[in-house]
Amino acid sequence: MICVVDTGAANLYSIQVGLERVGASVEISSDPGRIKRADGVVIPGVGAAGTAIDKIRASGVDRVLAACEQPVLGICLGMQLLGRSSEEAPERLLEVMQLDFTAWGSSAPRKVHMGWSRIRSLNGDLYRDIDEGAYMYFAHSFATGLNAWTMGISEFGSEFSAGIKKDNFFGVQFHPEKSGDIGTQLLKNFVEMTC
Amino acid sequence: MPTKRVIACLDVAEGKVVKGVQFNDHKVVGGIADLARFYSCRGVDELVLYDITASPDRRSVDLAWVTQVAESINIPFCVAGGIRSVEDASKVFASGADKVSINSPAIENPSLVEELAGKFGSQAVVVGVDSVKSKNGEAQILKFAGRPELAEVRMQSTNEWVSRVQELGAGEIVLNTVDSDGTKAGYDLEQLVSVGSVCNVPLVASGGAGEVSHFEDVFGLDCVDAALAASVFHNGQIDIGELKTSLLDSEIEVRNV
Repeated sequence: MICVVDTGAANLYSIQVGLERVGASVEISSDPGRIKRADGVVIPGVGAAGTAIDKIRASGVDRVLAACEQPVLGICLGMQLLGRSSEEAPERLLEVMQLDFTAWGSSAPRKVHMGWSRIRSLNGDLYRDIDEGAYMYFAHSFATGLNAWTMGISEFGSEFSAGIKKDNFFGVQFHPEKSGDIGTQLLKNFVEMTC
Repeated sequence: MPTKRVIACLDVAEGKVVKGVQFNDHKVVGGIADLARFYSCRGVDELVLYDITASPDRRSVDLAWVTQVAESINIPFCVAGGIRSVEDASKVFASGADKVSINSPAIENPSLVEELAGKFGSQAVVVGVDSVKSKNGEAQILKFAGRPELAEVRMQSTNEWVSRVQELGAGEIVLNTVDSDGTKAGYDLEQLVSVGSVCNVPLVASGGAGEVSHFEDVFGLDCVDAALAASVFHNGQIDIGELKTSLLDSEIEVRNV
């Protein structure tokens, strides 16, 4: 059972469909007990970091998430929630990794990175059977640079972390559920880690 | 930079995909989920599903087919048509859409753009702009383009409007140049360059695609991130897989499937 954390995000259904497509059974919940018992946890997210972290704190899910020992995958804003801070939110985030997310600077060609970009420096089980230079679909206005936890690099004016990993915590800045068959492969890899 | 994106637009009326010339004379093309799946398999980068009668009929988009599309494809899709409140948009996102595109409701109530961006993030809010050249040559926005008898030209320059909606939080602009729409004579590069000069978010070209070279021309513009077309794909004149091969041959970076 994969638990998709109900962050109040608008795209829960897409994530659910994406996971079910690779054979996972999925429940959407913000109940700390259910999250704790799940074989794997997905933190989705679109929209504003502040709203999402407030919702997570309100239900006490923040402490459960940070203490998870099963595989956890944060997607897009869900990846950012694993960090320490975001320029768009005054609140502290989950602080699984000490990462700060900022808006695109002057080197970025647009205010929003939207579309299909290549990812590289891929290793580990999450990227199994995914080629270097594969295209993934991104749609985000905040990002973090390269750091000790970077696992997967992309570029938008400058290099940034397309993915991060620390122990059982994974984050991807792109949307695997919207990245065609290659993205579906990544979800499959994640689900297999939970079995 | 991400790749240039090829977007297929599916105009929907009464639960079917239809096509028309300059918004008139609609003919049924096929089923919505079937066509979505077909284009996704051929390597389209994104789909826009446009409920063309929703806005003139003053209703929101039909959610049943939004869900069907979400279940059928694993690429992003945007839904347009009569979304005039946060509540309308919320239902569309909950049914699996990645973006909403608003056009005439944004003209009626510009603060809607701000509300949507605040709630769902700029990346999920697309503003569609129907633009026509006025007699003095300046591009102006057109409201209610979905039905010709209801269309009205607004005395506001397209560039001013595009600047305004970006300030309000629009994350992407679809510029539909109405004069070139349906002509198959190519995108209106001049208007795109003009709007591109004030556009800091992704700009999608729409209206006028007739052959492969038109995509090469429009992707030659730095300011254009994506090109949208409908009938050339629906009538089989351009196959998206072959289009992408041609674009790669011309050294335009696109996603190859």
